[in-house]
Amino acid sequence: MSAIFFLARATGDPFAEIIEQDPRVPPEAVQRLRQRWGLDKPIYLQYIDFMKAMLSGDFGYSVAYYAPVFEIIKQKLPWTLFLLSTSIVLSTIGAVLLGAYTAWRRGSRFDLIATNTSLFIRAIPHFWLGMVLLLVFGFYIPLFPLYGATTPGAHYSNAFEFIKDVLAHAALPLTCLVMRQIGMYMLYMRSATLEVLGEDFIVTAKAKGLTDREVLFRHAVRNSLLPMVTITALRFGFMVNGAILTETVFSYPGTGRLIYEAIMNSDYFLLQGAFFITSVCVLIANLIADLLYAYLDPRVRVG
Amino acid sequence: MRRAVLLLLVLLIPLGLALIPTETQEAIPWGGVTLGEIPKPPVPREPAFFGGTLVCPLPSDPVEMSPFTRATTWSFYFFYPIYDSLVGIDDQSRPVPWLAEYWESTPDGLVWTVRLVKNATWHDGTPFTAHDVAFTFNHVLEVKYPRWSDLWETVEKVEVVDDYTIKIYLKFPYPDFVTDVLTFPIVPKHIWEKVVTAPDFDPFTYRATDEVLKVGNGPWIFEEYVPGQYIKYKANPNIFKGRPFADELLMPIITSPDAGILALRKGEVDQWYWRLSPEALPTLLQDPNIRIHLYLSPYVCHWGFNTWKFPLNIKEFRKALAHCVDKDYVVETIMHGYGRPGRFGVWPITGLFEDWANPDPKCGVYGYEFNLTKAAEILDKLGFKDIDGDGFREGPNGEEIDLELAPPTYDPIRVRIAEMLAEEWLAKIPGGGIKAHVVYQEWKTLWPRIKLPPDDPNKPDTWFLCSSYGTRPSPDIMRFRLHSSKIPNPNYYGFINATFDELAEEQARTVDVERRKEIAKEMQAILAEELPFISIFHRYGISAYRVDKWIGWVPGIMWSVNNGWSWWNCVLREKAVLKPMTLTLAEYPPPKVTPGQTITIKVSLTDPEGEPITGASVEMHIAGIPEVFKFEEIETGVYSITLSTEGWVEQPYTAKIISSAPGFEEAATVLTFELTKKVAPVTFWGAYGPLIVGILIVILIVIAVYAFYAARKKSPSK
Repeated sequence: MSAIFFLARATGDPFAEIIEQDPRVPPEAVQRLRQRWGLDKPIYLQYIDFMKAMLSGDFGYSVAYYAPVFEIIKQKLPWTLFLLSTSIVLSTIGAVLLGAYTAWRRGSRFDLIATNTSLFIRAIPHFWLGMVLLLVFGFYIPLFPLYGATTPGAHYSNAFEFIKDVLAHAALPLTCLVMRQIGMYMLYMRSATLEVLGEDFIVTAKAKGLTDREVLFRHAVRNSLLPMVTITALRFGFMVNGAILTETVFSYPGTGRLIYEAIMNSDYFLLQGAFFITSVCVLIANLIADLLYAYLDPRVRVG
Repeated sequence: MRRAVLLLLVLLIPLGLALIPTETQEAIPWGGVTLGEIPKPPVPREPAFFGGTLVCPLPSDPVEMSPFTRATTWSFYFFYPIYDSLVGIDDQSRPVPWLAEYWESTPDGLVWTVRLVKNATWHDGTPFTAHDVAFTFNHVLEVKYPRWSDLWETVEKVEVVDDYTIKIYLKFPYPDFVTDVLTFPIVPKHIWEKVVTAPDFDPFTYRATDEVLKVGNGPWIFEEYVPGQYIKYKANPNIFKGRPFADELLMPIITSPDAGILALRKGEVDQWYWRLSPEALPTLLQDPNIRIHLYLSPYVCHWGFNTWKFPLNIKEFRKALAHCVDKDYVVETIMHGYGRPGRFGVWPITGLFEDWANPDPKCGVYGYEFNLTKAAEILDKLGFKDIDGDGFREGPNGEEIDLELAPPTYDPIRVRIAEMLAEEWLAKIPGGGIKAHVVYQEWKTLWPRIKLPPDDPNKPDTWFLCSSYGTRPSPDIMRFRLHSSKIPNPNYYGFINATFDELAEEQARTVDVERRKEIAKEMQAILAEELPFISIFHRYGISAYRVDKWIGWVPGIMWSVNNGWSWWNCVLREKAVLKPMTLTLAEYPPPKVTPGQTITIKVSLTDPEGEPITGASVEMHIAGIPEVFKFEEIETGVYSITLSTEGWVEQPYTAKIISSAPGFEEAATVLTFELTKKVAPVTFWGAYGPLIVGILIVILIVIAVYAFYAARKKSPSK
């Protein structure tokens, strides 16, 4: 909590920008703005105010938007949650399957190609991948729209049309996110599976005469899923922060850009609110991960 | 006795003078300002031409949601279609009467009488009256909104004379009253009265609700705003000056310039202006339906000095530095021509409000020409000499000099200028350079350092900053930025000059335009002499728009085509019955042109019947050259231009020729040519030589590899 407070304050003076943009704003007026937001007080008093507000669930007013912080985050949160949760689910499934399979067939040509491709995709800058996708599938082969989360100004006659529109708009950003995330997490899964495959019980399973598929999915994958659970849970936790670059390239209305702009504007209160929500989400995600662990791994339950 | 008479006389004379009727205080029509013109639409404003949705994207959400707190450009765009003001600003940055039909001021400039139009209404049908104006002004006077300081610092009180006349009393004569105060948007009293008297109304955090936004007086009625996605307006059918041609104005939010440019090329949006870089121009110019518009930005990008710190506190030393800046190199090479060199007199921006500029060459762009020898002479005279023989000069008393050059890292142009200064220009002064090093700091770190007081040791010695000098012809901006009372922000330079301060204060109260111009010129002369900073360049803004769907765009000298006049004047091209025009290239340059060669381009224009069109305007844009080339009509319907390629960079060029004539559709054609020295006749070796040599090299490598392996196989392995 204290870290949130001081980190937000490390971004500079929110009202200094006003003078830079328009030198004709008199200093007294800026002083009145500071007073309005309680930023003229000494820092320890500001800290006390902050703690009181956070405990009562009041995030305060954004300095740049002149509006309640929670309201602003609320406007953009659904889109971020939709985009990121879908991408996390899809990429986790993809990464688990690909990672397990490449580990099983370690050293094969498939493994070589898959591992190298994922390393390659991981090395590609996010925004560049997005721009190429836009150029190819938005412009040269105009399959998908170039910007936004829905068609601007559209009116839908039924829910199906709306869903179709949303999916068409989400297709490219999702592809961009999923491709990159599979590239990242497949390698985790692969190394986790490799570790498990070296264990004695795999030899036992093979000796029992189980098919390859049974050995892989029933014995190896289940055990190597544990680190993936932690990673995935944490990713869900950080979801509130959005995906700045993807959102910007595809003009997707999400919280990533909002938080980035808040840093640029030194918008203390918006930052505090966003960080606070993120930390709560991460805590909850961690809790869920721990509970899942107990379910997945009996050893934890006993301990 | 005689003495008493004399005394009486002395006493009576002033009394008598007071009794003589003085010249009646005649009001000054329009307050003495030069009026502009409302941009005319391409066709008459009649129902036959109405229809369509104009799509003008915004790069970001509007931030402040009240016309009183609006500060970001995006919020300006959001409110601009909804609320109109008494006075508008035309495409040439001059004021035009809008909701105010006429205004006049008393000769002392203290009382202004404004007469309003009588046929304006709010979107809900309520008539627009002087009470609305008084309400808006009084609300600002009461709350003192930071962004409206021009209004509440100058206006004493507002008086409603009758429903359509208002009197505004000023605290002091304010020469920029019309452009600064009368241009504020007016809000409806009958709606906002309820808003501001609500018990929980907080002026700083108020966000206008949809119901409030739906009642404005502008050409567009607010319909809906979906955060992060779009804003939609519909045409106001009852606006007093005539409704916009388009039925709807849609502003989708596109946050990436690349997506914006693609959407423009695809025709999904009708214009794009945000972060349009010169690199995108060749592709855009090749599309015959896309037009490019260049406008001047009000930013003075300069090399600022901390004038309190040795050796920058020496005026002559700063003059020596002024001789070390090659502005032509900056504009031509670093900026690819998309900028203009700055003046030593600082204001006005080069190419703008020229009648306000001091004609003395010293205040001009080349007041101190780029000449390192001259810099060396000045430094020698000051006693700055290279004593220890390391190639760099020391101070008169042997002080080490190492200037800090601080550009913000986000701007490659300013970083490059700093590097050129440190490595080339300052370092290569004959007889010993001036040692300087570039400090690469991120804006968030650099900016607070620039704003430190001049005596703070942590303040950078010199920095590179772009500061806005305003979009109106008002020298007051020099007072706002450089008066000694503004140290350290925005007078970052610690610049103190008593004469300058006096002049700055005088011009702020001088209503007489001619006198004010004189003062402004004196102020420029002082800046050019004192050099608290060196204005290096101004950027060109670039905007691009499509003409296949809409015509009637209004490009401004200081703004992009995305503006209120364009929204109001754009007509669907298919509705505006215009005759097609055929543009034929009669003479054009060969595909390869030698540098320095003079090229002639001739076009002929004909109507559908094949008759030549006279009186048309034909112009050419060339990617890489920020200049508009105008053709001349040499015979009926034939237009020509001759230009020399002297000094052009050797590269391929894309040129677009656009012709327009009243009653006709625009016609455009694209031609490409390459400036290159290699125009020798093609020989066999010239064409195939590299290929043959390449094949030979490959064959040799293959043989070498094969020979190597063969040799290894034969040799006995260990």
